[in-house]
Amino acid sequence: MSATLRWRRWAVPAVAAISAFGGGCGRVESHTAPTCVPKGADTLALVAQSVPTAAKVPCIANYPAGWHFASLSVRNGRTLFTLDSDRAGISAVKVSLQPRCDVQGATEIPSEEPGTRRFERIISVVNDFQAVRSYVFDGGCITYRFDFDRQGRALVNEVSVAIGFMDRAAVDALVRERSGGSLQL
Amino acid sequence: MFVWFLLVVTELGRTIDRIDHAVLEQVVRWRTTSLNSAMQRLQFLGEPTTVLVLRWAGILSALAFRRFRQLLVFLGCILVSTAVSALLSEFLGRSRPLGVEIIGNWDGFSHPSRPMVDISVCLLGLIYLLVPRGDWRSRAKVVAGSYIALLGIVRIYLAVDHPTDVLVGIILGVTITLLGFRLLAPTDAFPITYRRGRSAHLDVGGPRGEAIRAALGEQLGLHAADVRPFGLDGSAGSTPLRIELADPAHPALFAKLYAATHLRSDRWYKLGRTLLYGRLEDESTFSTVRRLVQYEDYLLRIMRSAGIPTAEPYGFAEITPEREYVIVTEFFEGAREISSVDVDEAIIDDALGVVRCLWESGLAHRDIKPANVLIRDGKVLLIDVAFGEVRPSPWRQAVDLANMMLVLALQCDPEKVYERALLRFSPDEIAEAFAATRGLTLTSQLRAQLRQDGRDLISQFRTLAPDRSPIKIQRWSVRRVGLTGAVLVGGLLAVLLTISLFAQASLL
Repeated sequence: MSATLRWRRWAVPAVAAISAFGGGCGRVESHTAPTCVPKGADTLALVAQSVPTAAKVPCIANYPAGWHFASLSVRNGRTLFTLDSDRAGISAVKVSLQPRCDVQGATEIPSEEPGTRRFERIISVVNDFQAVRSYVFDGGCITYRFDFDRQGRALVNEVSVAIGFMDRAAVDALVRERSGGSLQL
Repeated sequence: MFVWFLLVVTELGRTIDRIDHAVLEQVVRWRTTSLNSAMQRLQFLGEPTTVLVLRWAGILSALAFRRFRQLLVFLGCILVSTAVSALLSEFLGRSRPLGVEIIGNWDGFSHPSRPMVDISVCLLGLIYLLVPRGDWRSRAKVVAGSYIALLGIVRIYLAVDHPTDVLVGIILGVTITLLGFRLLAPTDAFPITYRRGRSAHLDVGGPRGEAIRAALGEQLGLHAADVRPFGLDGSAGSTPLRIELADPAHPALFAKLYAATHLRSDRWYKLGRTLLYGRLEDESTFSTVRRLVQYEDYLLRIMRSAGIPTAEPYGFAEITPEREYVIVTEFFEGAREISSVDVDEAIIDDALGVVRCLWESGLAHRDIKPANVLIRDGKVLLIDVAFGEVRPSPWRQAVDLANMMLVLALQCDPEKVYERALLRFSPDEIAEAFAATRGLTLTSQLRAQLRQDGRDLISQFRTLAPDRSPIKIQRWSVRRVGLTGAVLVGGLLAVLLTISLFAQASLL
C-alpha cells in the first residue's frame, strides 16, 4: 500500500479523534480575562460594546490568593464572566453586565462604588452560601451571583477586592489611545 | 498564521482597522429604516440555529447515503474550523466595530467572523457530501457563494463584523473544507452518485473503467471493447462485470472487481461470525485485496484441476496497487440459475456428483446457494469459489452437501433428492449433513428462498435420514471472550468519542 494511501486511510479517524479529545480550544467560550489594567483593553472594549448604554464596565482588578479567572461570554445585551476559587469552588462567582436587572426582594445597602446603588439578596446560608449582589447605575446593572461551598463563605469580601468597575469614558480613552486616536467606543 | 502574527506585532493592524472603519462609516451612511429592518431579518442566515440545522442536514444525509468517510471529513472540518477560529479569536481579541452603531446580534470577539466560517464550512461541506461532480456541483457552488456573499453583506451592513472579519471567515471556512475533502475524500476515489445499488458495487465508468480496460490489455492481453456491471443482484462482496472483447470471435468474459471496501466487508463479516459462534474454521481475514484475489484465482485453478465444473480462470489484473484488482474468468453464456430451470434426476445426480467430487478432492465450496449453481445444457456449473477451502473439516464438507440438497429440493421433492443422494452418499453422511445445518450454515439467499418456499425442507430431510443429534457449532475460547470484550469496549469508546465530537461541534 502506498504511503499516500496509508496516510489518507488513517488521517480521517485521526483528525476526528484529535479534534474530539484534544479540541478543548474549540469551545466558543472565551478565556480572555477582562482585566482593569490596559492589557485587557480589547476585552474591556468588547464588554462595553455588549451594553452600549452602561456607564460602567465590570473588570478584574486583581486576583486574591486562590482565585482565578474561569470564562467569559460576551454578546450584544449581556456579558458574563466567572471566577473560580480553590476554597469557594468552581464558578464561585458569576459577574454579569446587563442593561437592567431585577432587584425585587433585594435589600438596598450603601454602595462602595461611586455612582451606583447596591442591592443584596441572600438565597441560602444553610449549606452552601448563595446570594445575589447588584449594582445599578445609569444605563446598566452589574450583578454578582455567589455560589460558594460551605468552607468558602467567608470569602465574599475577597470578591469585592477582585472585581472592579471602570467608567465607560476610561475604556473609551484606552481605545482611543491604542488606536492612535482613530477609533472610539 | 504568520500574517496574523504580523498584524499583532506591526502597525499593519492599525492600518487595517482604519480601512475597515472607513468602509463601515460609508456603509452606515447608506442605512435606511426599511433596509435596516430587512437586513436585521436576514441575520437568520448566519444564526446558530441555521448553522445547527445545516450541520445536522449534512450529518443525516451522509448517514442516509452511507457516506461515512465524507461524514467524518465533514465533522473534522467543523471541529477544525471551530478550533482554529476560536484560537484566532482569543489570540487577536478584536472588539466589534468601533465608532459606528451596531444594529445586529453578535457573540464574542469579531475576528474571524464565526458565522461566516460556520456557514462556509456547512454549505461547502453539503456540496461535497451531496452534489455529484459536474454541472450540478458548479451550480451548487454558485448558490452557496451567493448565500455566503449575502450573509457577508448583511453582517457588514449591520456593523456586527468588520469587512476583514467577514473576508477572513470565508477564506478560513472555504479553505479548511476544500482541503479536508480534496485531501481526505477526493471525488475521484469517493464519487458522489445516486445510482441505486449496493455499496459494494463500484462505479466502473469514467477513470476507473479506463483503468480496468488498460490493465486487462497490458496485464492479461485481453483487449476489452466494453466493460459493464452484470448480475449485481446476486453479488454483495464484489462488483461483477461482463467484458466484451474487441475480437468479436472471442466469447465474452466474466470478471469481478475487488476493492478495499470488499476487504473490509469480509473482515467485518468474519468478525461478526467469530463473535456470534466462536472461531469456526478458516475465519481468518485477508490482509490485503491482492491476497483476497490471489486466493480466489488459486481456488479457481485448484477446482478446475480437480474436475469441478467451474469457470476457467484468465488470471487477475491490478488496477490500483493493493487497492483494486479485477479477476477474470470464462463467462457461462446461456447458463441459467438453478432456481429458474426444471430440475430433473439428471441435474440432481450431476449436482450431487459435484459435491462428491469436492469431497474426494479435499475441497469445500462454502457458498452453495441458488445464485452460485448454474445450469447449461442440462449440466451443473458451480461459480463463485471465493469462499472455498482446501482440506476443510468434515463438518464443512457436510454443510456443502446439505446446502446442495436444499437448493435442489427447492425445485423438486425432497424425497427424490434424498433418494438420488443415497446413490452417492451413505445415509449416515446425509444425516451428518443435516445435523450440521443451522441458520449460520445457510447463505442469506438460500434462507430467504426456504422461507418463501414454505415447506420445512430441513426437517423433512432430517426425517428421511437416520436419527442424528445436532452438531454444536458454538466454540468458546479465550480469544472469543477477549474479542467480545474488546468489541464492547471499542463500541463504548466510539459512543463516547461521538458524543465528544458532537459536543465540540456544538451539535448537541
